[in-house]
Amino acid sequence: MESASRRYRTPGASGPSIFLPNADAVTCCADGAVRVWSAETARTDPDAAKSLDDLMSQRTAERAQKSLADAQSKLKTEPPSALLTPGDRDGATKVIKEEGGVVAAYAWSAASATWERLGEVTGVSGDGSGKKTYGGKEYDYVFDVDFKDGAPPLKLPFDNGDNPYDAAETFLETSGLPMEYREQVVNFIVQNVGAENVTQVSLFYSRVGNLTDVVFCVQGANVDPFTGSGAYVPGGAAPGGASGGAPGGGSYDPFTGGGAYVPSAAPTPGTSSNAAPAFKFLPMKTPLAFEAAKFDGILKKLSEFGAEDGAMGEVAAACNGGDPPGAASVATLVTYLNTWPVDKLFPLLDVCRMVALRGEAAGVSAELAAAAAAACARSVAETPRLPANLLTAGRLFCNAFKHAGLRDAFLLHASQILVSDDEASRFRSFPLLRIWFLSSVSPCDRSLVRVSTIAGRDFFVRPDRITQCRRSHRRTPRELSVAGGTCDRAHTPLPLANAVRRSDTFHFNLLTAVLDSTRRMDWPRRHPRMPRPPPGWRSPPRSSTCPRACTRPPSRASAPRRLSPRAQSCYCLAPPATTTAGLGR
Amino acid sequence: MIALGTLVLNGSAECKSLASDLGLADVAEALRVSGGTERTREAAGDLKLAMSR
Repeated sequence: MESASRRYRTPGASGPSIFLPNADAVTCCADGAVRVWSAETARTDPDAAKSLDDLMSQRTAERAQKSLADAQSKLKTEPPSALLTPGDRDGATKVIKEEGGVVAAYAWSAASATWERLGEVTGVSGDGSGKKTYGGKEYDYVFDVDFKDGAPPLKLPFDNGDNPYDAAETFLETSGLPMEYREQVVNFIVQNVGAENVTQVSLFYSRVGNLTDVVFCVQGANVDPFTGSGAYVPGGAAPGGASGGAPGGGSYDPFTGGGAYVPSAAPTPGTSSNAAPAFKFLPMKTPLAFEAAKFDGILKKLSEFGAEDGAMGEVAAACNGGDPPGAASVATLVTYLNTWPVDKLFPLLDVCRMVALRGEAAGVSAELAAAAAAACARSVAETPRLPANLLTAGRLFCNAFKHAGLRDAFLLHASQILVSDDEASRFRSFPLLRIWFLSSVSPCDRSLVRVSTIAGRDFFVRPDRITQCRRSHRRTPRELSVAGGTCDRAHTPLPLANAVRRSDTFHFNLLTAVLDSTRRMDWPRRHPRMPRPPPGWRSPPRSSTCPRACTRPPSRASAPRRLSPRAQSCYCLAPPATTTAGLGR
Repeated sequence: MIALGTLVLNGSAECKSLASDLGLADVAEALRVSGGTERTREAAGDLKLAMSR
């Protein structure tokens, strides 16, 4: 069996071909010419060949001109008067339609404060007129083909006028992909390049014996020369018309990768890359809590520290779904929280963390809430500052938001847990947590206020998130001490606790996550860059922090009633309207 | 990471700036590539995507 194929380039769509007995072929073309193709050079007409070459060159130039005109028509051009406006940044560009219809690009030079003419726009990247380089050669198109998730896209180069079958085969060979994808690659090329930009594969035939089996391929109804079956049908493309339709009717952009070819029926993974990336988990709307606990270990440690096994076991059982603990057991826990030294608090805090999740069913009361909050603050603020204390205190702080009464009690001690004047030791434990707490409790967007200088770095909080220290704060003088800041005098600050209450679900979620993150990472050391002060803000001297360090209630005379932009006063967080007396709900 | 991504998505501009300064994008990218579990990698991808928006 002898088989052969011939391919002829014609300047337009060609009709059915006819074979002559001497193996020559006759084609008719849309340009009105009938051509006879022969393999014998003796019968070649040089004039006809030159005419064909000229015609092909002319058509190529026309296509390029049309493509450029199309691209320029899509450009957002501006009149020359737009150059009278200075650019917003160095290197800013404008496309100006000059007199005579010339489209030129200009760039703003900040040094000379002028628009510099870059030149005439002769091509637009992405519209097919711009050449792309791949493998050291320039191509009209270089497609990104995603064949496998996580792997870099494969490059499929193609020139206008190339045979899509050749390009597809070369691509599959160089990429090590099976030839089964050839038809899909050809489809992709034709759909993205346009039927008029590929070689008019006017004739394929296979010779069996004496030309008994001839297959004609014409534009719009091409036949796969290798399989004999229908290879592709450009979707609705009229002869000479552009195709460019994306599969599924969408618009394909072969240049940005948005239309990267993905084999639809491929056995190997082939997901489309033009789908917009979507979040899998975000945003998280369910509060997180530290719900896992090893009660055996907790009770063992408590026993080691001298706790009553019976009382603690009863509380632990209640936390684990058992009956509510007796009053005596709860009172024992409260006693331990109030009296035990700091270095033994962490198992108690762990128990309280689980108690917070079950609320009254685990014995939560106003007394227990106050004791737990005080112990939590003590474990963080007092020495020795054990890592275990910091961890369990942070977890307890997060879980406390599960219960309204506990939340109020802990908010009273928020500054002790999160912010204090002695920051050096706690800074590495709760940096993000504290920053978030200070900066995220209000949606208002105002100028920042420096909260304090901590370990040589400044922290900022918005003034509307700080409340003024009031006389009524005497009972809780250490609430979120903020010194050296400025505040909008006209602004009526919101109590921080109220702000937290309004959206505690979101905040709680963040608190938990940030705490969990900072637990494992030494953020300040690894990432020393911190927010910069706002423009125009002047850093007060280090000594401007609260001279009393808020360790005792401000005196009636010294407590400022209003914040002054220049005052170096002590501002404290307003306590929540409800107190621990409201517990037990 | 999920909640940090929520912070980046829903937080104020300064929260995003802080997250960027802390290098969360690099952390997320590292975890996205070589995270321990699939869920970790997916969450890291979410965080990376949130940081890029």
